[in-house]
Amino acid sequence: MITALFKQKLKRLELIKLAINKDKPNFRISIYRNHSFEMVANVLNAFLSVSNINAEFIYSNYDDSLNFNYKDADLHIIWLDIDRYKTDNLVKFLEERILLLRSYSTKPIIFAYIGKLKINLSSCFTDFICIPISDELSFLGEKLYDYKKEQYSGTHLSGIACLELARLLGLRYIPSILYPGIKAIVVDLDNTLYSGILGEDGIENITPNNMLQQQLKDLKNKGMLLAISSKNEIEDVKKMFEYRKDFILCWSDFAAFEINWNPKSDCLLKIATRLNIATDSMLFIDDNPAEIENVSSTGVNALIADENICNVLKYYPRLTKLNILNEDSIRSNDIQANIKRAEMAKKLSPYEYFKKLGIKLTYSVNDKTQIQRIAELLGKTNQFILSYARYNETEVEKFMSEKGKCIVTIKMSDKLSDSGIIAIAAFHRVNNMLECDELVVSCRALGRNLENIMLPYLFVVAQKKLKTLPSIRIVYKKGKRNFPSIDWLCKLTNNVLKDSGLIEYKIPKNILFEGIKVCIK
Amino acid sequence: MPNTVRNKVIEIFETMLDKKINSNENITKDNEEKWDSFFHITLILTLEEEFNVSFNSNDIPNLTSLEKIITAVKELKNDNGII
Repeated sequence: MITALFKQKLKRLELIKLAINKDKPNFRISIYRNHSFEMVANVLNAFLSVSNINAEFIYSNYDDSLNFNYKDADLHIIWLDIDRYKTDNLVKFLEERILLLRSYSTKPIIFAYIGKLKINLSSCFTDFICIPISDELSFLGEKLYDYKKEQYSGTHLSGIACLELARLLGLRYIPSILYPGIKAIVVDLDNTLYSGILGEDGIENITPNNMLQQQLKDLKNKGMLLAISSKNEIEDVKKMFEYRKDFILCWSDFAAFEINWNPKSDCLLKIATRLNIATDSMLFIDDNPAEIENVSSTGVNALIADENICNVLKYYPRLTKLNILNEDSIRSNDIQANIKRAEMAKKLSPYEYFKKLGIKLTYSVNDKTQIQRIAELLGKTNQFILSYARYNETEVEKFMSEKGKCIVTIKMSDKLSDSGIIAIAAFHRVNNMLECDELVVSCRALGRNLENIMLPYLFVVAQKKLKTLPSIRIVYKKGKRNFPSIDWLCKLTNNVLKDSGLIEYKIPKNILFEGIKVCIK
Repeated sequence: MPNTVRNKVIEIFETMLDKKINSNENITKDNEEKWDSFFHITLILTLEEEFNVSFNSNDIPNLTSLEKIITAVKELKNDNGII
């Protein structure tokens, strides 16, 4: 990790050096602005390089009227000094202009502004972030603005404010709006979660690393899963969490544990399996560089727990959750519940199992309140995904509104937990035939032996909604990690599948939901 | 290389222009294609940060060559050019 990007006080010269990249740009950012963005842009690539982005910038003129001279881009930034506007109805004006930009492009839009007025447009749009710069950079105090240099810089913003904004955009916001987030943080214990070595210093003589613990707790409260991988005796660790009431984190904050003397690479892979997430969705923190090296082959992101770790975590890409959904807060409970479900499934028949769990499935058609979660699940699912359609929020909204198309979701709950939305399918009608453009299932919902009941019923719901014949063509594409979904489709249709294509399936007339409660909205 | 104002300013120019500069090379705003208004303000901010100085606003437009900048920084540091 490049320390210059994460240190408390950024240095422009270091960032300019890091921003130099002679490779061909792989990303286009259009800037619509009424004050200059160039002083942010000239160091932004230093931060974006952490996410393998090398951006080129396409600038509008200085234009208060936001008369978009639209150019195709991967991301749009609207960069405004709103004190320049005299209108009483600024919010309405901005909403109209952003809607116009949205009509040109489905790509994410970032609206960042300076000015005395506080405006919040976030709830109005999809794939959209509103950044009130003075709030985000309030820690700069009087150093936020530099009016003396405005005549040369073309903005009220000071040089240091431009560096901090480049950091916020390049590390926190742009990767978060483009890529699926980190889902789990795995921490070491000795000299990481606390100073000292539990086995040698004893429970009383270790000192909690309060700042790190607080940051992890805050992330957990926003839906992050926490896990422990530590070379210790498990009984000692349990006693420590019981005894040390001054710790901010407690035993129940963690969703998985690997406390043993096995190589950490093996431990992380086990945690990934237990949490049912991909290794590149995990971040591992350890004080020992040898352990960091040991896990490098697993694909897990790894950070050394040095004195800068809290600042690194503050900005680390893909840790910022832009929209905290209900599903995020219930995820940790759901994973704990999955372990209990697996034990029950071993002992009971399917009927007894479903009945004992009290499973309830709720099917919804074109529910616009679910757009964010639908786009999130479509964007991040890697295992049970049939065609990699990856619609973003705007595309989901458009799909729902178009004639002859529908998106059907399944919410699942049982006595152990509420899993929220766990499956999504997108359909359209071709003449009298039903076609499934995409089908994804959250990995948290797998392993309950429900796939062959709940998924064919998605087709039934879509068939009724779109009034088609009881036969469906399902689009599929084999990818690197979607074997579970392809395997399921092979078995369902009793066919061998090519690398990609369409497979036909006769929708069953009766689907038995023994022991399961079903509700359609 | 001795740690002088001249050498440090040259290092900043080399980074920002992304090329090697000879110690006595005549680098001016007019003969450098990259030296536009944003290069200029970025250069000023970088110099202020690296030398912990603050240029007078009125002087900023006149700092249009490597030599003028070295002289201005030395004056602000009020020393013989050794950092």
